[in-house]
Amino acid sequence: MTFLFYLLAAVAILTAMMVVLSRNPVGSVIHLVLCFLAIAGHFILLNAQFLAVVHIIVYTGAILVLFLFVIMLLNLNPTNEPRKTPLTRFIALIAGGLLFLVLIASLRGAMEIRAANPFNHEIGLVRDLGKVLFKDFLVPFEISSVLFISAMVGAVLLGKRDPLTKN
Amino acid sequence: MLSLIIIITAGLLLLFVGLGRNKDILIPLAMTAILLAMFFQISGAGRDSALLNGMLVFDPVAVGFSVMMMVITLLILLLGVEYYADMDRNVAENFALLLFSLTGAILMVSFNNLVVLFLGIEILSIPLYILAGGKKKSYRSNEASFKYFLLGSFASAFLLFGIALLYGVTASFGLDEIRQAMPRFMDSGLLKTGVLMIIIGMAFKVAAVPFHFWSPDVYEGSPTLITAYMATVVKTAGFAAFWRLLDLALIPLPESLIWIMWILTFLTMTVSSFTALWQSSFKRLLAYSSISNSGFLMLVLLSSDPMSPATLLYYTFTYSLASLIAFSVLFSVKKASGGSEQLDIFNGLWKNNRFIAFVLAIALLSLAGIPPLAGFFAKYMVFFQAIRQDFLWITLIAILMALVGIYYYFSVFRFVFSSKGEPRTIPYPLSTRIVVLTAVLLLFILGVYPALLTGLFP
Repeated sequence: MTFLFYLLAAVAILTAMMVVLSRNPVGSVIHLVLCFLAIAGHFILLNAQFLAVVHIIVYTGAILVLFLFVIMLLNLNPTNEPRKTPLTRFIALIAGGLLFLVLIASLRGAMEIRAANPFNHEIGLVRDLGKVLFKDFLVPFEISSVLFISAMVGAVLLGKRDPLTKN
Repeated sequence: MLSLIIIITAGLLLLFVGLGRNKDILIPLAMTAILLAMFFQISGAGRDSALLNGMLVFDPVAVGFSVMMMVITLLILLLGVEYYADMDRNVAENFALLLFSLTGAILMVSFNNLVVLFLGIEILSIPLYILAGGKKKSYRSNEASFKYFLLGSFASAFLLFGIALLYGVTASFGLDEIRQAMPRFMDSGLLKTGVLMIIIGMAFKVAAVPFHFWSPDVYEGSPTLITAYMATVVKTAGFAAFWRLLDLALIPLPESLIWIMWILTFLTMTVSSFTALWQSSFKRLLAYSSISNSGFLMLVLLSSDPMSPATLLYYTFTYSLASLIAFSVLFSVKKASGGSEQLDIFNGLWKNNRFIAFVLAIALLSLAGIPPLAGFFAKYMVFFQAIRQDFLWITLIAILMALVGIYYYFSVFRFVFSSKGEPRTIPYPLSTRIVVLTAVLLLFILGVYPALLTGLFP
């Protein structure tokens, strides 16, 4: 168990680094796929089978395929990449480093927080998730439909071609 | 809850009505829905449904803010009569998105669970990202939409990360549970980082310096009606949500985070006021004025006083009314002068059209905080409350910045009352006249009798 955790964590971190460091955008996306798969493995270790499956279907399946399409359509050449001045890079380095430091420092005390609920090996089953979703979180669940319909209306609105070019 | 359902249904209905290309019934339909929703919100029907499960709480503060935002949206819809008069396509979608966005705003002022807060912010923002890009042919509008979307998503990610960390510490999304758990984990670094991330996310949404860079560009590029909505309803929802979050769950904040709030407040007030002095575009001037008003409102958030919700409501309402007038005047004058938004389009406005010049003057005087207009009492209440909490230095700075504000608001008068500018007719239809007159009247009434609003929350 512990060995698997460290293995998956190492894979996730390494591939996440490769996403940023890779010179080739398609390579970045492939590494992102690997990273998401490693995270799905973490979900399984945490007994969240449903989440793991959904994570693989939605992220690695749908979203990353979309990513690949967009990258291929966009034709990203190194020549039309905006260049950053050294000063901007330096500032970004400092700011990012500080954020990293804060996060590390905040995780230092995380060990002292004990789990609020006793371990339950059925917690990640679809049945339990459904109960939480349709009982405790019914209102947010239903309301999220407004979010999706507005996103859908927006996609149509922005993507539709105007037949008349009056103004 | 009933009022939310009515607004959502009306939004869906508008989409279908839009198929028929009968543009004239769209606005009456949307306004009826909002009036109905307002009625149910005040009468309290379906307020304590068991299905809510503590996710939403319609307490007096939530009802006050949501009714106020509905009033402002009504006025904006009325302004839409003129704005969308010569636009044939996609009008129904625009109004539907506006209603969906209002749903998000109502969720933001009545949440009792961080999940609902996040959903509310997203439901408010996503229609706005689209509405900001409403002028598809305009490069600036596209830029506004894209910039708002990218930076808004970034801020949402921060907020979500903070919520996740807070959940990791307190094992709950509910505000009541978080409030109970807070004292036990005061020294936990995880909690501090979580709350810090949440503050960053919220500060972005209310455009507090240094998270304000999106705001002037987005305000400038968006269609004027949408900018008016952003400056009024969105700002109100943001501050009401911020206040609710702090008051119901996170106060008392850890010491280090209070310092961060102080610095945010100080920067927001000073940077925006001084930047506003150099603006030559009226829309950008209003954007910076909106940021500097954010600074004063942050001062209210910091002073956790029993009067805070009343002060917030009064301040945001009067500020919204004055901004609405300013934006409607900008729209009419802009239309008459070929689409420019520079300050010099107001040249000789007083000679041309006494009525428009007069209402613009009232709006700017209220924004600047000149008695007996409501803007004066709004600022007075903020300063009074801050001094009562012994915030001497920051209040002094705030008063100084209010004086700088008077300077840049009055600089518009130089153009309005100048003798330059050629005579022209500025169209000013009845619907806009009604909105502007209502707003001016309310500014006077609330200025003379502030207890109308401040007495709402005992």
